[in-house]
Parts: sequence; structure tokens; C-alpha cells
Amino acid sequence: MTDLSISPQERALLAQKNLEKFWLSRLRKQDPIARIGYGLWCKSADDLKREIILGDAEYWAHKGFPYWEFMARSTVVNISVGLQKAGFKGTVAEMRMKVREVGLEVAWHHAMSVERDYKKKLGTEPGLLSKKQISKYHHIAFSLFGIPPDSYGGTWFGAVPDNWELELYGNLYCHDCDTSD
Amino acid sequence: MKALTYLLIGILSLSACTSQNATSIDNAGSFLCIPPEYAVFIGETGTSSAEFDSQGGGYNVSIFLNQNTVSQLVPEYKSETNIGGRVRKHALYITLSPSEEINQAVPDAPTKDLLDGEMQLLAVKADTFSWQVIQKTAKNQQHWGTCADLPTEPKSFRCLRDLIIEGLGLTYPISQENLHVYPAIDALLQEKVAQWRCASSGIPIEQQL
Repeated sequence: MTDLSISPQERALLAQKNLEKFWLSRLRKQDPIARIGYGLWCKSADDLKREIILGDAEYWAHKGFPYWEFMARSTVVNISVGLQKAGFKGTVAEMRMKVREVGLEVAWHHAMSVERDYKKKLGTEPGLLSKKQISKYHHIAFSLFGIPPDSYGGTWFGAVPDNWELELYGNLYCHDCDTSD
Repeated sequence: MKALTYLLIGILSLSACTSQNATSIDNAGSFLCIPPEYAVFIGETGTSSAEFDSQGGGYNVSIFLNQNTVSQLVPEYKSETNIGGRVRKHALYITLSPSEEINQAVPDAPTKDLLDGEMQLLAVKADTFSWQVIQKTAKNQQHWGTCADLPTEPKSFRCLRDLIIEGLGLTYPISQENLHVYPAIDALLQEKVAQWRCASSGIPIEQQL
């Protein structure tokens, strides 16, 4: 059984706000939510493809890059729509920066939940979260930005956005974009 | 009618909830009826969940009080903070669990003051992401919650306060800037839980989803 506790390295990565390496570390431990976390914050689409191709097919639910790429893109869109509902207005670059801030809070709350679960030996495997725990910490992280809880649609990846939302915000999902876009 | 107008949380053990011998009067006051405007349901929809833990995480409903409501009810509560340009809103999102899921033993370990000793909160030193906080009372020490540093400049931290009210575990986030008003938040929640106890038997939350 993999040790799912938050390692000193992961703690340091969070302190450095290094989301890519934090989620990569979680991915290597087969933390389920890391498939989205890494998909969101990896440096390039090729990095995500490589992890899926070389990784354990069962961990990736026997689904390929298009599926996980869509999940990550949908998450960005949901957060953007939530920020808009909360009254945030800004340029594309400002929206990207805000989405990243949300990402940092989500990662912090993930670490907090994992550690509480691990120390209190909740559930069947210490450090492995239930969908309920994941929903709750997303609600808390989102509330820090005024994003309503229903933006996290009751699934572990968030609600599937409408077509117009994907069209409007889909291009915010971009690994190497210049933030001045 | 009450079942239609309120959201109900069973806080009895499952056996008590499902006991055929339990009468209405037995259950009186044992459920929480949260007005819909303060309730957030935790859905369980989505794709295959085999890879996630099937257990843990408490009840399927949380309480949500927006930051304006809290600041009206709790004097000195900061509904918004700005640490180094990092603006955050502080609504109160309260998760609900059986008390045994949130309670934690008080370790026999060296401690340090968390806030000038005024709050009688002590941080248990640990080389981990988060650290336990214990509360010193006149008689003993008890678990208060857990805190962790935030990646901010200047340095700051945030906590998850664990509060137990008659077997119900309530956990809420609280920033360092609001730590001094936690007794007032606790009192507010005590009051809400007392107000929201169902007057008669309730429907276990499993039947509400």
C-alpha cells in the first residue's frame, strides 16, 4: 500500500507554490485527484500524455489523453464561470492568474484533508480521500473567492460545462501561455 | 410537512436511526433541521468511484453562512482579508461529522503558544504539513483543531476548528486574523444547533439524497 501522507517534499513544494511538481508527486503515489491536478498544472500537454502512456492504466481508469485533457479543461471553465458569478472581472491574463490562485488554495486544502484523514485513520485507507471529503474541501477553497458551492458539481471533477462556457473560457486552459495574452 | 420544508440530518448512530423500535418521541431533538438557505448538499454523482475511499467524510450536508451574515453576527469578524495582495473572503463553511471522526487525542508533547497565550491555544510541534492545536482549560487540555502555514508573505496560517456539540462534530475554517473571535463563532454555532434541532422525529439524511 502506498504511503499517501503529505511528504516533507510536498510540503516544500506547496510553500514554493509549485503546483506542477506537487501534483506530480501526488500522481506518482496514485492519489486519484492528482490526475486532474497534474492535468491542470503540468507544463505541457506532452507531459500529461507521457504520464498517461507510461502510467498504470488502471489508475488512469483505462482512459486516454483526450478524456483527461477534457476533464482538466472543464475544471478551468467551471472555476472561471464560478469566479465570474462571484463578480470577478479581468483580462484573460488576470483570469488565468486568479484560476491559479484558486488552484493553490485547492492544493492547500487537499494537503490539509489528506493529512487529517491520514492522522485520524478515516475510511478504509489512511490518506485516501472519499469523494465527499474532496467535495467539501473544494467548497471551502472556492468560498475564499466567493465562488458558490454549486460550481463544484457534486462530482470529483466538477460539473461538465455548457458548450458556450467551453467556448468562452476553454482557451484559459493553456500550459505554456504567455500571461500577457 | 416539516420533512418537506427542512433538510434533516440524522446525528444518531445508524442503528438508532434505523431502529424499528425508535418512536417519534425517542428521536425528538436528535436530528438537525437546517433551513435550506444555509444547507449545502454533498452529491455523490459522477464516474466510477472505486479509486476513492468509500468511507469517511462525515454527513452529506454542510452548513454555509456567507461572510456578510457572519460579520453581522460575530463582532470583529473579518469577512475579508488581504495578506500581501492576496484577498480572501471568509464565509463560514461548516462540515458535519460524527464526533469520533474529528476528535483527536491530546499528545504528551512539547507545545508553544499560538496567540500570546490569551486564547489558551497551544500548537503541538510537529514536522508535518499541519499541526494540532490544543486548548488549555482550567482543568485539562483538549483537542481544538489543526492549522497549517499558508504560502504568504508575510507569513500566516489557517486552521480547521473542530467543535463537538452533543455528539455532532462541526469543523470550520478560520484564518489567523479571525482566531481571536473563535469563542464567538463557537457560541454562534451552539445557538444555531440548538435552534435547528428538529422538534419531532426526522428522516435520516440517507433518505434525503
